[in-house]
Amino acid sequence: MTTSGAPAGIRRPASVVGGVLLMCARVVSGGVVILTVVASWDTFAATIVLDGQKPGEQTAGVVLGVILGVYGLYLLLYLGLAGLVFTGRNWARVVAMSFASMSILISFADYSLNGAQITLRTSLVSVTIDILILLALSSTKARHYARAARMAGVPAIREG
Amino acid sequence: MPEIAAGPSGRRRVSPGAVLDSFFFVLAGFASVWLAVLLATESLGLGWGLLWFAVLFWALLAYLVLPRLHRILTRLYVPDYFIGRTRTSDGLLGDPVNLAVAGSADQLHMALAAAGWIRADDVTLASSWRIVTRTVSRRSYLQAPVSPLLLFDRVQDFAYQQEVADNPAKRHHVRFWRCPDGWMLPGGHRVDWLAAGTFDRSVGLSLFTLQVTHKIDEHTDIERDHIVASIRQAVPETRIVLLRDFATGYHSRNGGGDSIQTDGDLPVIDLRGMPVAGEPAGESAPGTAVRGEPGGVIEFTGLS
Repeated sequence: MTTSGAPAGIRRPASVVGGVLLMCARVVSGGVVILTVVASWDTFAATIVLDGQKPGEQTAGVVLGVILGVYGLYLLLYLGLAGLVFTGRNWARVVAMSFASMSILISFADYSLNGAQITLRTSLVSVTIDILILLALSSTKARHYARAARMAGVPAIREG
Repeated sequence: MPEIAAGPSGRRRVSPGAVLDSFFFVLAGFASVWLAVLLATESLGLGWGLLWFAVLFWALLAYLVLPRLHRILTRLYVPDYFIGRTRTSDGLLGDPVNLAVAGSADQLHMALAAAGWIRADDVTLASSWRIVTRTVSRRSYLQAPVSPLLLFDRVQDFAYQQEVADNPAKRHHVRFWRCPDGWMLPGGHRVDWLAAGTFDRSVGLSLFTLQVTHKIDEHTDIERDHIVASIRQAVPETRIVLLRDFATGYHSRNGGGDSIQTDGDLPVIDLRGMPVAGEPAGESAPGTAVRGEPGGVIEFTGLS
């Protein structure tokens, strides 16, 4: 048995389920991006510019591979985070909310200071998902659920 | 609102986790307003796509943005103590508390069942799905759940309702909350249960959140008196203690923006004399409380 996590007596609120589903949606959309790039590898590799110059085909491939690898790793970690939020870990919920807040604040700064257009063609869907994740995970029910899970975990730790 | 815990030095301190939670809560509120602005801007350039986008915009506004804003604001301005009103899950003032009961849970359940009231199911995925299927197939759902309202920071313990023939939009319903131990009404009357009974007259949009909701009949006294009369008829041992002018909110609005009118009286339905199966008839020790004859009504009025 785990030392903390969802307590048996408390139902998982819809806001937690919704928030986790949105986090998964984010991972899936990231996965689609990776697949799209892999599918038309040469086209994307040709767009890479290093120090103002186009690198050779092989170097471009390595750079693109590293970028995709890092992004893929991030998506995997994010998926793990979603799993931890689902089981009621409070710190995972706080980290997920921090990610969403950061992303929202950056978009908002871009929008209000640089006049960036946020439309369906650009980043509207992504910003929407971030805001919905933040709304869902910051709700009172999600907070109570994570707190209750933490409280329920305390005796389990003490009992070893 | 940050939760306050007593620190080791005895001084009250605010836990950092609670401050962080409040920060995210408020940030999400502002972010959702921004999202509404973005969606509104986007919808202007959509032409024929406007219709479904308008529905999306309404859903966002009604179910996410406005509830969050109300939660943030009502935490600041709505009192957290008993003021004779329930609160909606968004923190808005809900239906008025217009009934009280003295008696055990068993006595209350038996009295309501005998008076032809049907207990409402709790809101769950299964019961929500049943509402959809019964509505589509036009069959009645006698135990349809009622929306949650809060009193003493708790959702109602249970609710009872009576259907109006062939009309899912209309129904009698009453929610019950168990009072905390030792708790007394303003004025010092001790009761076991408080209740809010209102009549759903139609389905409409809430004035404050734009959500789809039941609109209640503004004459809440009619529903209150209907509940009292039905129980008195079914349970002859019932005594009524009537607290005249208990509520001062003679004219008000509930959480959906519906008007409320009341004479302010609070009937206390005393079921303690009601026999429960397997137990001796209610306490009859002399001099324990102001007791009248079974079926009698005692009125408490102000000194004027």
